[in-house]
Amino acid sequence: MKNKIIVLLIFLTCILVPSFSYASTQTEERTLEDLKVNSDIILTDEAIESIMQTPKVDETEKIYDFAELFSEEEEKELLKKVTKFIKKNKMDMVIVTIDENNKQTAQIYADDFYDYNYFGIGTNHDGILFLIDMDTREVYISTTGKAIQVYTDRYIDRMLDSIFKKSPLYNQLWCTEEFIKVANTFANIKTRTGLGVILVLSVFITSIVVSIQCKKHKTVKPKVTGERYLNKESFNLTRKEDRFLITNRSRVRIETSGGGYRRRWRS
Amino acid sequence: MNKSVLGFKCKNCGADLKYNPKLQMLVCDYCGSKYDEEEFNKNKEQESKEKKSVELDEYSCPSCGAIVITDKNTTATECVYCGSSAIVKNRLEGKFKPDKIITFKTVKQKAIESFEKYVNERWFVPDEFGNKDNIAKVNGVYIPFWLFDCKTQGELLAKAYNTRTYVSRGYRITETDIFDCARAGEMEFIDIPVDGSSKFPDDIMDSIEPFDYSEFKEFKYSYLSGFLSEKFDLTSDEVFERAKIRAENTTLDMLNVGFEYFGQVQTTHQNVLIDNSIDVEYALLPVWMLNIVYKGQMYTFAMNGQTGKMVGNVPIKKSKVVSYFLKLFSIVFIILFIIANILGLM
Repeated sequence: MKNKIIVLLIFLTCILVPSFSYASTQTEERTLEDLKVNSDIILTDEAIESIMQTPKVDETEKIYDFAELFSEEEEKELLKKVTKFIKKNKMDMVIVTIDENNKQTAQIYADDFYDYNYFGIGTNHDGILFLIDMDTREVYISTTGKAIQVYTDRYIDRMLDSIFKKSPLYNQLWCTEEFIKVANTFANIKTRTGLGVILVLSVFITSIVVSIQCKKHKTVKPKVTGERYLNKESFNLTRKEDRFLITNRSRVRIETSGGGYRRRWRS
Repeated sequence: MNKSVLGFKCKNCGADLKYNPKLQMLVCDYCGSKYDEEEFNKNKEQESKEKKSVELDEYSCPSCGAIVITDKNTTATECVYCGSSAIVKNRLEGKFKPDKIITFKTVKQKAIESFEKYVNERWFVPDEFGNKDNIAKVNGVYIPFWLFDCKTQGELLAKAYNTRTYVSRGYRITETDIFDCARAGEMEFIDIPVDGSSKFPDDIMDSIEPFDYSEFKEFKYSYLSGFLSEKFDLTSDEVFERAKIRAENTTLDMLNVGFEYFGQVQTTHQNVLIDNSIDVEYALLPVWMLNIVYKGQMYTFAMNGQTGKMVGNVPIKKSKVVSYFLKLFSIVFIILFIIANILGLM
């Protein structure tokens, strides 16, 4: 009996102790009088209902581990990386984990969470949110403002490919770190691409101006038309006919292709 | 072959008179006397009949008596010994007598200034090219031009296409309406100019157009005084082809009407007929010719003596092109970089 009690205590210790080390995420209460959202949010009845269902958090925390997937140390490490990302790329980054989704989909939860808190940098609230939804078993990446241009559908697909090299069900920390790493890489790619575009555009504009100036060196050209010497009053259009012949019709089946920001895993 | 040489002499001091484009009068550079060309011509033509000298390709200067060799097509020139103006009158008689003339409106100094401005406006011109020292010769020349009046009849057949695309039940459907189009018309051209001298490059003569025909005057010998002049050595028949091409092309351009409603037009047949009733006039038009010698090569520039329009190919210095390219590229790159950052695209 004594042995059984010891085994039970060890089991409970294994289960409970780690949970005590998890960081807690503080939420604030919203009221209908004080919704605590950005002033540019349009407040329809439907929106107010969604706002009330969305937790109000401290925007400086950046890591909102509602599902309690990370230890305090891990959260600190993640926050360091997220802060570095924000400083470097001048856009916000938010990590959210949930084990209970009170909204219809992971997408709605992620979008509402970002929109109905004071996230984002600048007037367009530039930023990216990474959601691990243990309830619907989905990972979702939501982008706002500048991040929409930076992280195109193609890039987000590639980010999800990287994240899903390991299963998010068992490797949440690895997946989150991978997300931050790949988000950094693509943000830099975008900058490099931007530089490339500016470089090409500069060469193009300069070439046009230089070629126009080169052409100005050659003003001697034989004349092949004589519109200046046409007596415009003498012009008489004796025939002008446009006769309809036939209509040719062709059709091609439209190939549809999937895409999006969401990916589901199987347990 | 007899050649009459006309020298326009001042009645007061006997010095050579020159036609002043600004005053539109004959002016004596020495005593400042001015003469209306009509009044002067009446007396002068009588006098000139008495002063005739006879050479094949040379004439005797009426001022100093020196023998001056001229090109067989030169009709007005100046004596290389005393600088007097002289007009080889019988080269301007009969079929060589121009029907009309546009006189110079600009002076030699203006031609030089225009040339300098024209050259300096070009980005890649070699630094030393625009120097006055390189200007080998600046001559005001009356160039012989044939002016053609003609009527044309044109016909144009084409296929026109209008395409629209829409999506229906999972299919992208493309419909193309095809039309048979026909256009025909007639028109008249007045005074298409073609230079009648083989000495002057055709493309340069084309490029100095247009001349303001409202300033055409009846030809008088006095207008040539102080300038060079040529008579035609290409007949109107020989150069008509150039006027014909211009009339044909413009005729087809004019028939290109009402096609803006179609997405695509493909010409299947076109034809232009020139009416036989072609009218030709012979005219002298004023051109300042500048020859520039640069690195042993001659560059010809021409300025419309009436409007001041300057044409001519300016050489390009490759190192300047590279230098301008790099400077401009740097400026454009910095501007675009700043704009991209302001717009948050980077």
